[in-house]
Amino acid sequence: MIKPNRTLRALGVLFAGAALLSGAGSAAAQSLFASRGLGYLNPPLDGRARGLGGVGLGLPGGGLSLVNPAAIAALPAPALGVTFQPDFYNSRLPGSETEGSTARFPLLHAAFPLGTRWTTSVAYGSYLDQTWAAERSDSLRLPGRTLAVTDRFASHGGVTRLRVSGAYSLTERLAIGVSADLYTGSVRDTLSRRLDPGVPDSLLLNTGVLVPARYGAEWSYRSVGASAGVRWAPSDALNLAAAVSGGATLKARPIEGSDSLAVGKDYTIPLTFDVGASGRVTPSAIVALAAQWSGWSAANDDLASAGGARDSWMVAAGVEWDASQADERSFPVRLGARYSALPFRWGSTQDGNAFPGERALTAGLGARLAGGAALVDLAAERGWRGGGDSVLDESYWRATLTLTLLGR
Amino acid sequence: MLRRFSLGKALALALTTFLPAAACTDEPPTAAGGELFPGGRVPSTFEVVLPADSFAQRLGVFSGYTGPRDVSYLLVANRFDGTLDAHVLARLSEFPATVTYTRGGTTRTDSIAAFGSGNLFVRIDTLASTAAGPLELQVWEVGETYHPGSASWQFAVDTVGGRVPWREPGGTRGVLLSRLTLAANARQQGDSLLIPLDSVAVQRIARSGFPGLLITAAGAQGRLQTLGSVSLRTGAHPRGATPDTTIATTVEAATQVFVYNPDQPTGSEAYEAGGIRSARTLFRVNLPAAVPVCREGGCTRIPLRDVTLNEVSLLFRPSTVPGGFRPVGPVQLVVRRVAEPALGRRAPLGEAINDIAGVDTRGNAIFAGVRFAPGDTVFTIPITAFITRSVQSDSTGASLALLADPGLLLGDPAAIPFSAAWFQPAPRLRILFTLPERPVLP
Repeated sequence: MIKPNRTLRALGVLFAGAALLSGAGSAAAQSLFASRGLGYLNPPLDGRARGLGGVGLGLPGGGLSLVNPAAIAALPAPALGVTFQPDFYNSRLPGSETEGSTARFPLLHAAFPLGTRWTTSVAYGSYLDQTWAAERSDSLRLPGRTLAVTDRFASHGGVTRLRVSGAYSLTERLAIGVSADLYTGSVRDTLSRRLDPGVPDSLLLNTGVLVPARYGAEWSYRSVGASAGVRWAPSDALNLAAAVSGGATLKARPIEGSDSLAVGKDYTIPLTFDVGASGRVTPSAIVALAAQWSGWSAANDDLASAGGARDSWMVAAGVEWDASQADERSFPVRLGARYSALPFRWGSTQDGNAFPGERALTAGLGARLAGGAALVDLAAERGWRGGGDSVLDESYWRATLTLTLLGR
Repeated sequence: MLRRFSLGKALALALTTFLPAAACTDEPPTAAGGELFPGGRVPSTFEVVLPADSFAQRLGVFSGYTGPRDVSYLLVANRFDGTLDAHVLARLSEFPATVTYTRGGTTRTDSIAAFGSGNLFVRIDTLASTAAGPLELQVWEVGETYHPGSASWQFAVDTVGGRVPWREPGGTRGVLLSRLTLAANARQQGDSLLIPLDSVAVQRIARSGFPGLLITAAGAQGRLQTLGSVSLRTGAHPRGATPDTTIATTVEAATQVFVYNPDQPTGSEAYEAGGIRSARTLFRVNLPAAVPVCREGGCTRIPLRDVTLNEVSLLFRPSTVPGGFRPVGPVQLVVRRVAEPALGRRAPLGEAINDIAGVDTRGNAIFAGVRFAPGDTVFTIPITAFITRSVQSDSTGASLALLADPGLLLGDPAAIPFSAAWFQPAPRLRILFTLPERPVLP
């Protein structure tokens, strides 16, 4: 049984990590597709799941991804996982191309076995990212002069998910889990116009800098949700898992002190179903598969002015090869692929097929150190977003590094 | 079997691993182009130019705050613009009776037997000097006694004790001591000007009771403005030294002033600012309650406080300054608040309201004068910050003064320009504003 002081220390670690997460919040941008609907959906997966194409449930040994609350039942000891994720992206719109890099902490998860059958966990995971910006240059011709105009819309923030979970091992091969989710976050939108009259006529004089126009509003997002999952290992070679999650209405409200004319809005958090399975096909290799369906079309009316939403789905597959299972130290190698149908329309409602998709190829490397007390999982992902009638295309490189520590 | 691995070590390892990454800064993905703007909405900017009768009321022009004794420069002019003449009256300090010098390693103080030839030295303000052709400077002995503190073009003495007119307006000429012809463009002469004086002239100037120097100009139309004062550079011959021993000696001016004719003109309908008499124009600006906005759907009026004021500027059209007082170089002008315009000439000036030019090392705003340069067809004074504050405080207008106040910028109250700037009596108010466009939820 875990000792209370250990629990406190573990919570301390969690809060320290949460502080890290909040500090990196403004950097949690990864795609210009965050500009549509409620943002870019970023599933809270760890490095192992990413290396397997995005298979976040049904894996041997469970895991700390926030997909299946029952997954923590397989953990043999208290565990803390921190995931760090840098992105390098290239976005292309007709006539323009943007490159950049971002970094974030999409997942922080601490789990505590209670006795032999119960396991609890607290976690912080990414959900919707709304950090992005757009600039537009123009000129304004006025009598006797021409002003350079730069308009900028910047959105900072997003919605994250705080989760408390409990899992119960019915048998050594069957576990169930439930969780309560708190969706929380804020988004600050700023629309500004900068006017530049050109070169000042003298350093000593008024330089002719024109006052920029700037309008801002900030909203908070709040909701609660729940999820449930099951994990079943019918044999040593086969793992199966399923999970469902949903939420109440996501309430966006203007933050006090923000624009007094801003109004709030409610959005539906959809039901999401996940299934996953893995099977050992050779003594040193497993094949993992996962699929997800999310009923985002329930939010279509809520998002009608922003183009609407459709049901999204995802399929992922991966292979993990570990030739050194007998050793204390092991270094599994992973390969995977994924295709996702993203939920939010890019263009207007008249653009019928303007829903983008995302496809990715992944590779990963794990390191099982200190007799399994420290796990390092690194994944690299090459992906592409776009398609349909959306005029935005993106490619990206994404790295995911997860450090998992297990204590006794 | 798991090895023991404490959570304390875990925390240390986690922080060591990830904290540097968290410290990284980056920019959100930023697209170029308007496709991403939610709803395609971008701000709209408009400009309106209000005529004088809709916002401005001229209250009056006042001058006489300063004169030639308040400035540090001297002016010599010859029929500049066909009108303006200016002469310099200067008295030098008493010439030294002894001189100290070193010979053979020994320092000696000796009485002066005589002075040799020398030069009158002045520095020229080339930006404020101009001539249509060769300009001859003439140095005279003043032909009659004058009072340096009150002498003017007409009067040698003009005190409460009485007035004594010059026998010759502009200063009675006595003996001609020297002359020097300057090329048409004084700028080519460099910043320093040396007017040669032979030894006879120097001895004459050095004698006790010398009434003073009168410097005039002849030849082409033009004006020459100095920087600082006049001095005499000569050589002193010590009585006990060999005849070829000359000790360089400089004698500074004790008093100096310039007299000019005609006086700075005023009384027109123009907006006047600056000049040696420091003219200022008091006027009132009444702010419009709303600004017109015309788009495809028609025109409407938007309250001024509901828009973002990108720029509010006073626009003046220059007019001709008579009497040779037109600017030949840049003139710094400012607009200042006037609390009690009914006091007219004595109305106290408030703070400068034209937009700041910067911040000094102590964080104080620097209100630079706005430069009016000869040849400008429109003179623009940005007052955006002041008008924005006025609108936010529901002020309907303000009384203002347009004047030259280079001391605000240069920290030198003596740098009052001789030239004045005049503007047509119909200023305009240019308002560049942007309509609010607030972000909304998706």
